Amino acid sequence: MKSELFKTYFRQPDSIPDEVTRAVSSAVPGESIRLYAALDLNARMAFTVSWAILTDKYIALAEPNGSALDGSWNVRSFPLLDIEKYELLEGLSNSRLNLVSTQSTLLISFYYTRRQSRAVGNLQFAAEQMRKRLKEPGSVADLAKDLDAAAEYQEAVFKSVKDSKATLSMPKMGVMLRLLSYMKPHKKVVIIAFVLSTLTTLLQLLPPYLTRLLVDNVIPSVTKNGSTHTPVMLAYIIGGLACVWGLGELMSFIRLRTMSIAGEKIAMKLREDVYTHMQKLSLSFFGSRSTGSLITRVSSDTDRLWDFVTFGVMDIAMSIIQIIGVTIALFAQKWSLAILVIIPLPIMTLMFYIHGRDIQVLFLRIWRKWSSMTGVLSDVIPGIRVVKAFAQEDHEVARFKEKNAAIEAEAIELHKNWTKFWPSVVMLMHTCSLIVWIVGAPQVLEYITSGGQKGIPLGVFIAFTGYMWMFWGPVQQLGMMSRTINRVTTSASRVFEVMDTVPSIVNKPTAITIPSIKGHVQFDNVTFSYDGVRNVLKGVSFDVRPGEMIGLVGPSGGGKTTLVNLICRFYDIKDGSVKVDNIDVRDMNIASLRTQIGVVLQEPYLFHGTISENISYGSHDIKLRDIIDSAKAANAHEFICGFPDGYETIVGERGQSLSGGERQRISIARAILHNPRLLILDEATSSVDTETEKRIQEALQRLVAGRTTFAIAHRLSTLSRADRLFVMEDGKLAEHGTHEELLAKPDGVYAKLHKTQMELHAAIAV
Amino acid sequence: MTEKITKPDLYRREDGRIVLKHLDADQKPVETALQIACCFPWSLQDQWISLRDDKGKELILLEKLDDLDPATSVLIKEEMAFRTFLARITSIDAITDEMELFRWDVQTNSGERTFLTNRHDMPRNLPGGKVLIKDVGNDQYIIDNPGALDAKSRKLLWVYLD
Repeated sequence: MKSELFKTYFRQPDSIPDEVTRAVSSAVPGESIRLYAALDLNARMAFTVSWAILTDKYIALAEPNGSALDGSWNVRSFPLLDIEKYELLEGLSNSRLNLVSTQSTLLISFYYTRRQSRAVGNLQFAAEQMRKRLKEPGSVADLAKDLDAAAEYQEAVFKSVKDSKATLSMPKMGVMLRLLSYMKPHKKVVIIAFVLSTLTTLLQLLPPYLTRLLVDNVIPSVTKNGSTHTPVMLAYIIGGLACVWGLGELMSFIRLRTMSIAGEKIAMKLREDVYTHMQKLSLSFFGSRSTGSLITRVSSDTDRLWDFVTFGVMDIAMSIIQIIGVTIALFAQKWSLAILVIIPLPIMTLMFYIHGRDIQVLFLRIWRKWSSMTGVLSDVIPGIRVVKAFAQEDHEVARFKEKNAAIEAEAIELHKNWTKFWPSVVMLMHTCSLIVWIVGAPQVLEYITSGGQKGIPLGVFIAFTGYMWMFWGPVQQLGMMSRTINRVTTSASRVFEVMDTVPSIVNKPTAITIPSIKGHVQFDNVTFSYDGVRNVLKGVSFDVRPGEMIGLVGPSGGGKTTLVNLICRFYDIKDGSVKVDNIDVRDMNIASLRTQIGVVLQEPYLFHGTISENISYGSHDIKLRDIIDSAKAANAHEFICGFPDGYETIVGERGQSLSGGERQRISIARAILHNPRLLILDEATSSVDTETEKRIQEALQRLVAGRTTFAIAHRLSTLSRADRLFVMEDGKLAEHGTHEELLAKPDGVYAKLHKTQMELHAAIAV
Repeated sequence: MTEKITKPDLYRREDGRIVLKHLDADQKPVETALQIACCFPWSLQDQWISLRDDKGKELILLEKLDDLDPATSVLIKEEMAFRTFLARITSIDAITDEMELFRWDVQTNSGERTFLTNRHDMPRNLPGGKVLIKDVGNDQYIIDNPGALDAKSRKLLWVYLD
């Protein structure tokens, strides 16, 4: 399966060739291959396939021997102990990994495109770990021990495809069947609708036949002998027509009513399933997709599926039944004429198919122009203050005009296409009818002149032309259907993709629920990476006592946010362990852990709703007294009461706009009410006025008391209050200790940071 | 102060590194292995070149490579070939619909290549008529002059052109 996909998608070997394995084992005898990665560029930036190979004690590079014709490989190997450092340089679409020796000379460079980054990154990580083990046995776990090198390599290369298309193994037919399986609970309705549509279609076949009876049997009998039965028969036929139409309308009413209701139920179930499943997925899923695309999947994709389930499926069924029915009717009337009608059918289907395809391309072009215009709008309107401040209105109008004109030009192309198409289709239909008339009309005359001995009776001919026109509708419908099916399968597979994504953070079956944690947090040699390539945390270890307050400081990108993400178990770690109250967080029930963690974010998020709803978010059975008490503790009570709507002021999107300081105090009140054992503070860097700052600090002080707290801190006031400071730098815990202890280290990272900040303060004060 | 060095003394060490000979803060001659960055890698590949040490600290900012002596500018241009590399598509063999993805089979100046693009990640039209294509693995491919492609490639590409 995988190797098949490798061939189709990358034209890249799905595993290391045997010749390379042999060449490596003769270059470094006795070594086994641990991991490998393909390198698809050479130093001259031409595509090629070389291999970077990690063995027990070496990294080897195997390059195809260009000059030799026997397909042999050049292998160069470098002992892990000699590789001091790896330097990653990135070009526009390529990377170079330099292996640097202990004497800081360049050993070798690996060149590759982004496609191989993950595999090369894994190799580098494993190599660094193995070197540590070689230098100091037992210092780190042997990561590459149980790895299947081929599987790791395939997984790494394939990740990007998986991320953009989760339904790899799902063929179009499979998606369709799965969608149709949603109709199962509504089996009864679907069957009724199907029977009704069949009956409706068959009923529609009756009127031309009745016309034939009228012309061939009723009218001649009047002209011949003035039969007394005539008025009765006439009444029967007209009554028959009335019944057919009346019944037809009744049946389509029942069908449309039941199917649209069933369709809506199916769409509701789909939306609910997608959204419910989405909530189970971990943060990493949301990180890799845009909010817009996720919203689309729940809203407009499911809507398109509703449309298809309600109308599309039945339309297809009805079209097929009608084509079969009409064909039989045509042949039953007069087979020689029927053949004349059938002959252009393939041409017609082809025309519809080609038109559908061409118009899709045109639609795509228009859609691109359209989105480029809306792009200008969504770019400029939020930035309108800048536009006005720089007096660039004319420039922006010109930019818009250009995009707008492009849409017009494209739309004209589209209109030219379809306005040309439809008349030509109708012309083909008319040509057909003309041919039928040319062939059929003389035969009708012949029937009359021969007194009914030869030729076609008039009624048969009229019925025939009637059926002929009923033929084209469903043919057109089916011709256009391929496009609809394409769109529906795309929507369906996007919806199913979400449902098929397995949450990466799940409760173990043996997960422990802890009603009340004490707040003892331990990190033991924790290594973590978001993308599997770059390690954001590198072997971090610490032990935090219950109730201790930790200030996290250090340059941005140092790993502070990652550290707190791991305490909440938003992500699972690669190596090491994170323990709360001596239990690995991976063994805990996720909900029972997270409900005991309170988070106050740098940019607090308030949901649409009242202030009291926002404060009580995540807490249950809350008395109004508690809400007010926590707002008081958060120094928020005063300003909330100042609003005309008090605690019932609507905030969030489209609500009352609050200042940054106010939002922060509401989120502090939320955390106080939630009463967590473990607290995570992400302090705002944005400056608020001194008075507000003081009030926030007071509020924080009350919040922090007695809870284990991790504060990502910038303010000196917070830092000096912390029991200990952790200085995070480049994914490592560079220093830790109290404020005073760290300041005492003259060359320490913290001492330097502190000095800069003091200078800054001094500069501002002056 | 650093900008004053307009004629840097560079050479390629035997391990392949480009090394700058210069004076440190105490006016002592030192050699520093360089990392070379380009300020405008898309449009100006021989101007505004930043020579930096392995910690990313800029030592020299060169305004124009042409001002340098030929040997030095060749050294830097060799390095730039890596920094500004993009596969340039010379013809398109096929664009296949793989449901949510498109598979492209193309010839480039670096050789044959097959890649996948997201349905919603359209090729971008760059100023000057160039077309830039990004695949699912974030690799990028450029078509310098779509008009100069053969008829088949042009037809396949047409839907994405402005």
